[in-house]
Amino acid sequence: MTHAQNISILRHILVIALIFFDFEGYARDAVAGNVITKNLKNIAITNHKDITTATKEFQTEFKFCDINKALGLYNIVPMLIIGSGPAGLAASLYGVGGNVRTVVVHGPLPGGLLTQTTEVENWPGHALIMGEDIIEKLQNQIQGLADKYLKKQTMNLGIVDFLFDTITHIDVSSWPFKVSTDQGLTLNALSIVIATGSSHKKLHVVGENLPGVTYCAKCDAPFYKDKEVVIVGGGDSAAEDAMQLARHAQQVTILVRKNKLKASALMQMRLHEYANIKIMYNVEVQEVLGDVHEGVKAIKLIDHVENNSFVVSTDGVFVAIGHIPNSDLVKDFVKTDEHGNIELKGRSQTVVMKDEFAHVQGVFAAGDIADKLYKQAYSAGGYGVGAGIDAISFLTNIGFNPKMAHILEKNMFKV
Amino acid sequence: MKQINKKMIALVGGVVLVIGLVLMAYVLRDKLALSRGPVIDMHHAMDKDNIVPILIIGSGPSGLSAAIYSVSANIRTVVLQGPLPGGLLTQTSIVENWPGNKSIMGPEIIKNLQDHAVGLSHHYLKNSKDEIDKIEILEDTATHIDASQWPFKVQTANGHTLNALSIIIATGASPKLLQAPGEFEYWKKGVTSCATCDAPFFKDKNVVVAGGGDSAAEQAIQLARHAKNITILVRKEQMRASAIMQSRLKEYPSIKVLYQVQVQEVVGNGEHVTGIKLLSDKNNEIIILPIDGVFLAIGHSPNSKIVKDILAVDAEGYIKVEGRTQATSVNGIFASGDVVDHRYRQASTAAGYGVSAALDAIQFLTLNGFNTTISAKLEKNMFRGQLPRDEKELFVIKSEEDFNQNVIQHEGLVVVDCFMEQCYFCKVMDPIFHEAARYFENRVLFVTLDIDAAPAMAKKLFITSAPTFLVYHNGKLVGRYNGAMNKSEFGLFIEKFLHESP
Repeated sequence: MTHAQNISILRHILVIALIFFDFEGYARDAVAGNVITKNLKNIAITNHKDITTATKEFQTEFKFCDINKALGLYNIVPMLIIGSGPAGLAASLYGVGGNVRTVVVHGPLPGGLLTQTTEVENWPGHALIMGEDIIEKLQNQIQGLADKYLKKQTMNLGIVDFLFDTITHIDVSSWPFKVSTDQGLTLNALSIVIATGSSHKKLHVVGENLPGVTYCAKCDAPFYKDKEVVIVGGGDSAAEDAMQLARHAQQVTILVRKNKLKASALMQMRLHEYANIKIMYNVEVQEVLGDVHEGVKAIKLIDHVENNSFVVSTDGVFVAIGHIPNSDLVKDFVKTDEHGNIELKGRSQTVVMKDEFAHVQGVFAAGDIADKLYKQAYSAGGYGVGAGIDAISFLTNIGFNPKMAHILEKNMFKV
Repeated sequence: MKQINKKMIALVGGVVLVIGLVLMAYVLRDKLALSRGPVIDMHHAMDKDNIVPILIIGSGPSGLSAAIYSVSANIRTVVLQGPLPGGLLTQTSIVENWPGNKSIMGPEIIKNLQDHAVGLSHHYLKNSKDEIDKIEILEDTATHIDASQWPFKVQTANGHTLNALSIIIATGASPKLLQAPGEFEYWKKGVTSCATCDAPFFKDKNVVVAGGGDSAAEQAIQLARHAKNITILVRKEQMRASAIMQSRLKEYPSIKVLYQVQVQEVVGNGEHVTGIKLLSDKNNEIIILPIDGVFLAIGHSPNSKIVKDILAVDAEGYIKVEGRTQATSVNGIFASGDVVDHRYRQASTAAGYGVSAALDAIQFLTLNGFNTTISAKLEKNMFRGQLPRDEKELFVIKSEEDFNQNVIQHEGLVVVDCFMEQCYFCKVMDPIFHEAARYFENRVLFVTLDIDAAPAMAKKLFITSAPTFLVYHNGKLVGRYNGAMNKSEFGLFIEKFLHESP
C-alpha cells in the first residue's frame, strides 16, 4: 500500500472522529441553544431541502403538541407552574411579562423552603431581608404587573392566578397535559414548569423544631460569630458546612454516626487544617435541648461504642444529613439522578424525559428540584427566569400566538 | 501477497488503535478537562504579593452577585469594574422583571448590589481583627491574564499586577450597533436591544426591529404581544431567520417585513425617538417611518477578548463552561453572565449565574487548601488598592511656610505629590503614592501639595500640570516628573534618587 493511500485512510479516520465530535457538539448545541430553530436551520441548510419541506418536518416533529388539539378543551392553562418558591415565582414573572396566562399552584408549603428561614443575608440587592418578605415581594411584583396589563386590554380574566392547591397527578401521555389537583380540578396545561423544590432530611428527634436547629450553613453561619455549634452528618456537605462555619464560629463539632466520615478524602484532609473543627464519631443525636424562646442550649447524644448517653452544650445545631428533591410527582416520566434531581438538557431548563416519553415537549423545571450543585434561593430565581423564557419560547413555537389566545379565551381555566 | 497481508494487518491494527485512542479521549474528556490549567499548589502563593483570593472582572449584576457570595464566605474579593462600571444595566431605565422589585431603575439595581457587598464587608470588618476590607471595588480594567502559572497573573490598566488565586470572568456582552447617527444619542430613549425587557413599554406604539435573523423574528413576536405595529427592517432580499420562524411571523397581522433597506439615521425630538430614516436599495429612495422604538437585533458580541486565548470559547466568542457549573476550561477560572449565556441574557439570570460562579470559586479555594490559617498567613501579602483603615494621612502642604518647614528644611529625600482634587490621574496615583510612602518609610519623606489650596505655591514651583512629582534632597530640587506612572515605575523612580543621594 502506498504512502498516499495510508494518508488517505488516516484522513478518513480523522473525518470520522471529527464527525463523531462534531455530532456531539451539534447535539449539545441543539439541546442548549434554541432547539427548534437550530434544528430546523440544520435540516434546511445541511440537507438542502426547501423551506416547505423543512416546515413539514418541523410540524411532524411537533405533531405531539399540535395547538389545534387544544380547541374544544376546557380548563386550559397555557403556563402551569407547580410550586411557589423563588423558582416558580420568577418563572411566573416571565409568563406574565410575556402576556401569557399563568397559573401558579402553591403546593403544600406556599412560598417554599425560603419561608422557613429567618434573616437572609445573601439575596443579592438586600443587605438583610426575611425569607418570607422575599416571597411576598415577588408575589406583589407579579400581581402588580398582571394588574397593569389587565387594565390595558379587553381580556376579562386575569393573567395570573395563584391556587392554594396541590397537584396530585400529571398525565403527559397526551397533549395538552392533563393535571389533577387535590381539590378535584382537572387542568389542561399547554406547558408545565416544575418548581417543587426540595425538603431537608430531618433528624426525627425531640426538639428538632427549636430555634437554632437549622439546615443551611451558607445562610446562617454569620449569625454564629464566636459561638459553639455542632453539625450533624458525615458527608461532603457536612464537611463543607463545617468549613463555612469555621470562618465564623469559635468551635465547630461534627457529629458522625459511624466510626468514619463519608466525606471525600480531600475534604477530610482539609478539615484537619482547621484548628476549630472537632469530629466526634459513633454518636447519634437523641434529643435537642433548649426552649422555644432562647433556642438551642445543648444536644443529647448516645455513644454507640461506649453505650452511654451524654449532653454537649451548643449554641446551634446544623443538620446536614441531606436533601430530598420533591420529585415524586414527576419521577414516572422525567429522568432523575439517583437522588431524585431532575435532569436538564444542556444549560437550558428543558427537562430530559424518560425514553418512552422522549417525544414529549413542553415540560420545564427550575430551582432545587433540578439543581444538585448550588441549591440557593437566588440561583433558583435565576433558573426560574430561564424556565419562564423557555416555556414562552415553546408556546410561541407551537403557535400559541395572541390570535390563538383570543380564540381559546373562553376555554381558559377560571378560578 | 503475504507482505501485503502483513501491511494490511499493521494498518488495521493502527486504525483500531487510533479509533481506540479517539474513543478514550472522548470518554475521558471531562477528566482531561479537569486537569487543564496550571498546577495548583497553595505553597506557590506564599511568597507572592498583591494576592487576590477571588478576583472578579466586571461589575454588572453577575460580577456583583458573585462578590456578595464571596464576601459572605469571608474571603477577600477584588472587583475590577472595567470600562463601563455597573455594566449594560446602568444604561437601561425602568426594569420590571428584576425579581423582587416591582419597578426599579437599572442603575439602582447596581447600586443596591454594590451597597450589599460593601455593607457585608463592613459588617465583617467591625467584628474581626482583620485590617483590610473583605471587598474592594476598583475603577480599573484588566488588560492581560496569564493563566500559564498559578496564582494567575493579571495586569490592570492602572498598572497593578495582581496574583489571583481564582478568577470570575463577568465581562458581559455588548449589543452590536447599527453605527447610524442618532443611535447613540437615543440609546434607551427609544433605541434598545432587549425586547424581553422593554417590550411592555411600547404598548400600542409603532416600532421597528432591525435585523433579519432568528433573534429579530423572536423580538418581533415578543413585541407583537404589546406594540401596535412592528416593522422588521432587513438589509438583504430575504430574512436569515429559520423557515419556521418566518412562517410564524405571518401569523401576526401586526408584523410587517421591509426588505433591502438600510438604516440611515435614528430621528428624534431631543427627548425620544420619533422616526427612522431608511435608504431603500431597490430604488435608492429615502423612506422616513414615524415610529417610537427601534429594537436592535443584529446580535451581541461577548466581551471575551481578554480571555479568548486562554479559555475555550465557542465560534461566537462565548466562554464555554462545564455542564451546568460555571467552570471554564482552566481550573480556577470561572465565568458567568452574558459572556457565557447567549440563551437568556437577563440581568436576573446573570446574577443567578454569578452566585453559582462564586460558590464554584469558593469550593475551588477550599478544595485546594485555602483556609482561615492560610488566609491569615497571607494577610500581609494581600493586594491593597486603597488605603488600609488606619493609614496615617500624609502631610498636605497648603502654604509656603508648610513647604519650607517640611521640604526645604528636611534632611534627606522628600517627594512632593502636587495634586488637584478634580484630576483623574491624581486619583490613579494616590494609592500608588501612599503605598510607596509605606514602602519607603523612614528612608524617604512623602508629602502632598494641594494645587487648588495653594495656588501661589504651585506657581512658584512652576507646576503647570497635575500630578507633578518633585524630589528634594537636603532642600535642593533634584528631580521632577509630570503625569502618571504605574507602581513599579514609581518605585524605580524613587529608588534612583535613593541610589544617587544615599
